[in-house]
Amino acid sequence: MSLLLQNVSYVYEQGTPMENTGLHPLSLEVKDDEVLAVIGATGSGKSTLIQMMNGLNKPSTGNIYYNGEDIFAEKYDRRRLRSQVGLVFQYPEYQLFEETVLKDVCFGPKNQGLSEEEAIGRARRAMRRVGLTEDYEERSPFDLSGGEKRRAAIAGVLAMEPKILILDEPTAGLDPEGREELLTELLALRRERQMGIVMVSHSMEDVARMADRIAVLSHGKLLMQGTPREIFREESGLLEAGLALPAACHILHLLKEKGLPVGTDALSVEEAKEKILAAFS
Amino acid sequence: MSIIRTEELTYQYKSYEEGQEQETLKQALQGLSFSVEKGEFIAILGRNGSGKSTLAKHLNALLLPSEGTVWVEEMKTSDEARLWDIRSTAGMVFQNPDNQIVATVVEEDVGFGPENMGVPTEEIWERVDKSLKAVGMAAYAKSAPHRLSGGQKQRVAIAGVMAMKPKCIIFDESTAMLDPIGRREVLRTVRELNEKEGITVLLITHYMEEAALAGRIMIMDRGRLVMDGTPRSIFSRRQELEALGLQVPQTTALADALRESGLPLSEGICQEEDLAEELAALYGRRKEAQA
Ligand SMILES: Nc1ncnc2c1ncn2[C@@H]1O[C@H](COP(=O)(O)OP(=O)(O)OP(=O)(O)O)[C@@H](O)[C@H]1O
Ligand SMILES: [Mg+2]
Repeated sequence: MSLLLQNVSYVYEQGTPMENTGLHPLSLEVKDDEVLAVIGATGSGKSTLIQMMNGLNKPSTGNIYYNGEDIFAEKYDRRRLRSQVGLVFQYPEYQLFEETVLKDVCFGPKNQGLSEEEAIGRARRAMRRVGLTEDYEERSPFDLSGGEKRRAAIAGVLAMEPKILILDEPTAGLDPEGREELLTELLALRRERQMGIVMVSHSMEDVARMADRIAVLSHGKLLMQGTPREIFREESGLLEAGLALPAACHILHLLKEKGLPVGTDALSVEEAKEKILAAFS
Repeated sequence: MSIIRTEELTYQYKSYEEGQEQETLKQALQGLSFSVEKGEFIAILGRNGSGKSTLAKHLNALLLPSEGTVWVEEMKTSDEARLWDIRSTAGMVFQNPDNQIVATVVEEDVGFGPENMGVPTEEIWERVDKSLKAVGMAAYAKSAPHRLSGGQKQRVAIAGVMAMKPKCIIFDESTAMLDPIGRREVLRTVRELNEKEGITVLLITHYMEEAALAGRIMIMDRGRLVMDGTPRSIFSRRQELEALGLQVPQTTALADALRESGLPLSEGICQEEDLAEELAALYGRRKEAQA
């Protein structure tokens, strides 16, 4: 069970003088129960890529298979696909449209054919998971603060209980506590539901912490793919791609430049601490 | 002289819902009094919904206080006759650039503000060039904004505000959607504007690393100002911060962890360079002592 992208490419405004390659042919697999992080500079093709994953963008070449079925085959039910492969957009404003937050979060599950009651139950659970308490239910989504809107948009997709959850910059605009809680919830959901997660993020710290696998995009090409440890070892490749090292890792590099005998291979504060203490002992 | 001053600033959002007789009020700011001196670089932190954006909108008269007063360079923001002066003194850059871009060509978009201000054509182009270079978007001067990525658009929006040469710029999570290099470029630009051109900067952010660059941090909670101080003093109060939904930067967390493990590092270190320097110095002394 998985989502498989085979030699997919994407050309914007194909056949016009404005033609512009968004993505060069690449292959990628999203497994159930796995967190795949997609990183890359702005404009590197991340959003184009993930919008193909749930059938919003049709690849110019190549095929996409969900559980072995070609999602662009003639009779394929792409509407149903969108409730199984849920996408949270980069800007939550584009996702919120109902009068109240509760109605908005209910929209997906209702569309899936659930009863009002079931939909509300799901919506409430999803809202709690992202830290939206009961008093947000009757508020207009347009009157929320930036971070509150993002929480509402994420809840709306969670309420559909997708098999694969794709999030474009899920923690942008969240306060540190909200960010921490969301990441923890996502990992819990993966465990509970064997949900696959694709996460586009500019936060190398979040990526280092969450990802099983990282795909690095640069100028519309898949530059490299690997575990966080493998990827964050490639400092020059990352810088070339407009990215950076997680803070903990960066400090170790600075220390090494200053002549301290430290290993630089750390993904978290805890690991960096161990490396530094080792140098001092 | 202070460039911004508020006294007992209070604000309630009013919303009218269908079928409801009465408007609902949402208290967003509660008796804020503070002042900002010319040339300061202030980071504003606080959990989601704490009132940061609401405050920002008061500083260039996008919102007017329900109670209390806001002055921008001695102009009351409620003085309608001075609206244009207020807005050109205090510029604002938001998170989502799509709502800020007006023209169909990047350079025209950046020139839009100065043109409206009546700046001579020659100078408009100078300003446009300079601003686009500063945000690393000079190569896109002739591009169509809608074809740029989110982060690229954001840099154009920042250039647009910079081209109006405001005395104060309020950035409301303007780096939130940028990649690490883009963010670094924008922050460097922000610092240069502050240091070289003396522009006062108010930076609203959820990135503690960014706040560490400021000279002063103000923290909001439930519409009130609850902490105000230097990054070092703020980031050495970890528990209080966490109670406010915030964190210390990873650098500070690492320094704290090392201190707890016995390395004598100073409190509240919040910049990577500073930590690396203290550690290198400490390491050097230990080596000498051992020799
Ligand atoms: N247009 C509006 N109508 C009613 N209430 C609003 C409106 N905009 C914001 N609010 C409410 O006012 C409070 C402060 O919102 P504000 O946008 O200032 O928060 P913020 O600190 O900027 O949050 P964030 O970190 O999420 O951007 C919140 O409770 C929010 O829900
Ligand atoms: Mg805000």
